[in-house]
Amino acid sequence: MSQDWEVVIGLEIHAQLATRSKIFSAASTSYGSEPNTQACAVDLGMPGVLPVLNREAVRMAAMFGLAVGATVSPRSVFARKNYFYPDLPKGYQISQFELPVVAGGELLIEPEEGEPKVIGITRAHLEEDAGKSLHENYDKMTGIDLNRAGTPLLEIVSEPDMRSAKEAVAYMKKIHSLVRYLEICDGNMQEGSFRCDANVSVRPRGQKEFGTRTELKNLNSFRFVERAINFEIERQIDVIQGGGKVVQETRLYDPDKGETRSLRTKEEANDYRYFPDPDLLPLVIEPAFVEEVRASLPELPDAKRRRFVEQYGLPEYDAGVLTAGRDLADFYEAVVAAGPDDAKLAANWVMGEFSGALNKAGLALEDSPVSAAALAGLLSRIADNTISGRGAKDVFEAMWAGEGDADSIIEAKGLKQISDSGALEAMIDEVIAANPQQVEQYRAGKDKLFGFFVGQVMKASKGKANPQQVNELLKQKLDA
Amino acid sequence: MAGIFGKHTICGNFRALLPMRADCGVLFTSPVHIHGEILMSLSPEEVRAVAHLARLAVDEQRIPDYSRDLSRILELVEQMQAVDTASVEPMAHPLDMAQRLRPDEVTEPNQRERFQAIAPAVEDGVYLVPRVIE
Amino acid sequence: MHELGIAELARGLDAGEYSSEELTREVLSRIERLDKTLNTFITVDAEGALAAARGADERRAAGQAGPLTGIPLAHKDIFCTNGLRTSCGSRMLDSFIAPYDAAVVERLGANGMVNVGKTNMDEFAMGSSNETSYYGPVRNPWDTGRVPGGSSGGSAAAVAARLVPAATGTDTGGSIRQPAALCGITGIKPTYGRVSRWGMIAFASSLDQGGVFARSAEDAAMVLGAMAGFDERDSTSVEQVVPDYSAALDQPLKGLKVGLPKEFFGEGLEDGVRAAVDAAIAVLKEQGAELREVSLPNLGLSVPTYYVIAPAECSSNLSRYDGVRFGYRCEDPRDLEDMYKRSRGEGFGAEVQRRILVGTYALSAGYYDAYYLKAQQCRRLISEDFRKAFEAVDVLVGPTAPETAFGLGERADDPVKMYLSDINTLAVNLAGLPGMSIPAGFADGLPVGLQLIGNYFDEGRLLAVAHQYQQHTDWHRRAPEEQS
Repeated sequence: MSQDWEVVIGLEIHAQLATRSKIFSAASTSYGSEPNTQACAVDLGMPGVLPVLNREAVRMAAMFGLAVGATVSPRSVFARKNYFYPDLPKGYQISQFELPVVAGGELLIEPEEGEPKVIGITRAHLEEDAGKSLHENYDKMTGIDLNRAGTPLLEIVSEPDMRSAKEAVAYMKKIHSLVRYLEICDGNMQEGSFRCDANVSVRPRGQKEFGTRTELKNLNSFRFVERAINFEIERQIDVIQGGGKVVQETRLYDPDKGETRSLRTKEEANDYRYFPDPDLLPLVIEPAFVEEVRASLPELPDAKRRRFVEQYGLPEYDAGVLTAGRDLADFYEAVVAAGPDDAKLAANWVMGEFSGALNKAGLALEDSPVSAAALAGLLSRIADNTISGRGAKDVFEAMWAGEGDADSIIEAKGLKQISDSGALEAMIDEVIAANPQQVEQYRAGKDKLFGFFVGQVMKASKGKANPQQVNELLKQKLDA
Repeated sequence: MAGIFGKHTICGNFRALLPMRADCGVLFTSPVHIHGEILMSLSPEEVRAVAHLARLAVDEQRIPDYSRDLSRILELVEQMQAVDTASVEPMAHPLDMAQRLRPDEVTEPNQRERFQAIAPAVEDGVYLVPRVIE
Repeated sequence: MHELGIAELARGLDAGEYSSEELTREVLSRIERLDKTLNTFITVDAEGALAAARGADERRAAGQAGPLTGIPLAHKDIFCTNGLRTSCGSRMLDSFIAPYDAAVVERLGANGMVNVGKTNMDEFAMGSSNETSYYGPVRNPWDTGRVPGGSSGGSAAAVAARLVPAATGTDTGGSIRQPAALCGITGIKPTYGRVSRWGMIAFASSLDQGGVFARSAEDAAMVLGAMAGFDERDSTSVEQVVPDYSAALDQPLKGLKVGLPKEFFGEGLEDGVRAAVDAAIAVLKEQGAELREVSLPNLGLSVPTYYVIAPAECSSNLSRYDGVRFGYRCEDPRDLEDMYKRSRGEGFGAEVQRRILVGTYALSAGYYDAYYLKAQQCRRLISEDFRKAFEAVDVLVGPTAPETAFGLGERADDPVKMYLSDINTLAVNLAGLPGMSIPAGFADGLPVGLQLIGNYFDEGRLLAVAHQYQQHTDWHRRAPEEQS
């Protein structure tokens, strides 16, 4: 991108709140059921039905507000956003307009490139999700599934503070991590539990006014967010440099083509006719409720990372990786608690073999075949020299394959290291005796041959000799 | 809610409504306020525009009637403008109560068959509508 | 039997003079005989009613009967009835078999009342004459050339014609009180939030409130006591104990401070109505009530305020009727927009459309502040007037309607004139107060209603005042001549 242009990005993130029931009804929010089996009379907008607000959705919104240093509004109001669409059963969406439940907050991001930066959070408000339109499988018709209708959403609106696609992704990832830490959203982007729209504009560097923005939709992965924004930046600059004007519009990202396209509808300028929902009363949040929520807040990612550095003596990098998700951080701490007194060893294994195996198997942490306690058991055997690092990898593989715990696998496979110096000395003596020529060369100064002797001893022990001990004993004997 | 909450709108302020709404584009063109004096009548064009917003197919022959009726109703409504309400808190609700909160419990059973028995068009458990073009 | 009120019927049932099934058969046969002319019912559920009546008789035999067990009633067709068509007076819901009961239906059913059917009403409760019903107008039993009032005209006329001893209604701007007045019966709209709105099809959510029609305050007290009370399914339902209305009926009028809002007695009040209302007030005074003139200076604002708020809320509430999940869908829609527009254009009648248009306009971009917000501010001014008045008096009294029943078709073409006839009732809904209308004599052979307005949650006092008045008058016992 040209140095002459500045990019301005704001994100609107929709996080489905992980409540059991819907925001205004007692129907289930679980994903993937048969169409319309989780749409009750309220969700269907049938005549005479009425909404009642779910306490848990309010609590979760308040948690988010406190986690980003925002104000949890003592009084907020639900409004109706009126428009017709077949997956919007009542002809209006219950949302919040003038008075959102969370106002003003901020978040520190650390993009892959560039400096850490504080991004403002304008507001977060509660609203209900719509249903789904199914465009395939129905001849000349669209099918409507309202299972999702009424699922609680927290819409998190950022300030237009981001200046690159990388910053936008860093912000989105940070919010993603945060809502999962708070356990208020499962963060599943494939299932649409965590969605993002981006408002993007460009302006000549130095210009005060914002350029005309477009809104990008259908950004259902971090990668798409980055690609769509970068495409849109180039497109807008091209339009302006070509003498044209950017049109304020909604654009859809097409991941197959890697481009955005105008979402043209016959619809005139939106006129949502917002007004306070007369079926709902003002949401009043008492200070005691806020304090209760505050007391229940878990340790947040930044604080946890600082603690990992201090408490476990981990490098910043390790602490960052381990605390990116609450589940991994918890797993790590469980390993440390049950394992040997070597936090760095645990970090290496959790970030290395363990995470690698999870990724390779495409498993979520909770589905791992190796528990924290089991991994800790393996690490204990490394720390007490029962097995070598090499041997440990074999043991881990066997554990992953469900062959048992570390000790039984070591036993069964005979992987126990030989650390008995008497036995090792005998082997070493044999090796020295069998290779007089090499001994002579070594002693004459050919140091490189030391490795040859180590290899011979390991071979003689069938790989079970403790390498460190072999080194020490060999040195003693050869240098004697 | 795309694009409605810009940097400069302050949440929690009723007054913030106008700039936000202006942002949405104004449908109707007839003059509303001229220093408190109101010229209020709805042209047939405007009636058609409102009818579209409300997704109502209004019989063309009825439009002049609606135009006249609506204008008369709005004239009636204009009586409010004579009252100074600058310092009056809007009243959304007769009772000064707060929203009650419901425990997060799933108690609604699946009643799809019952509900869909009265639907105009369903297939395999989904409601059918003429194709939606995206 | 049809001459008897609920309290008397309950005594007869208890004494075994007749069974609920016999009583219900009598009700059904009167409806069959008399309703062709009056058109008070949209749906009569003879089978369901007889089954419910037999159930009530069994409960009575088992010694489990309450005071309302086995008493027939009718529900305004705005209350959802499980398995029974609930049309709301509209073509839109002509095919709508509700899959659940309204809270009111549930509660009265649980009290053993026997639902005989669903009464006619203005379409979606929008009207003051019952002429906007898809099922044709209801006729006033006192003069079948005249309207019964609206929107609960079917319920009011059915009770007035002695077809049923009681019927439910809803009141958004006077839809219980005005038809009660025009039909010469007793009707009460309690405080907003007193009766659950669950399953009661919404017109204007912040104004709608369910209530009841009966022959007397005594009967109304029994039914209201059974239908009122907290419901967790309605966010606007009030968590407050419902007092025993029947037990409080005997409070004497002595010392009662009665406010007479001068605005109720100004221009536009027909002479005959004025004379009847003055006479009724004189009865209250004779019984020891103290009369005071009070003022509701912003009462005149209630018409414009109401005709912004109610249409605005209705325009949104009626968006769910889109032909997708229930209700009317037009034939062979070309595309989605055509389906929306024709389903709604063909499913809704002219008055409903008119109000949707007004409300849509009032909420649309650039007009919100000038209309909706302004109306909400006026609403507060109106409510404040009442608050001040109730600092000085216990109840407010005046005419329910400034005139008696007008002729069918007389005002159908003039919506504004129709709206202005609601001037005495609208403000009560805007403030959310309880209001009542009781028979107070006749003008030129047509009933006149006396309106009683109480402070919040003071419907017990309204019922007591009405009952005391009815102890000293017999207007509520007058019945129209039968015309079949």
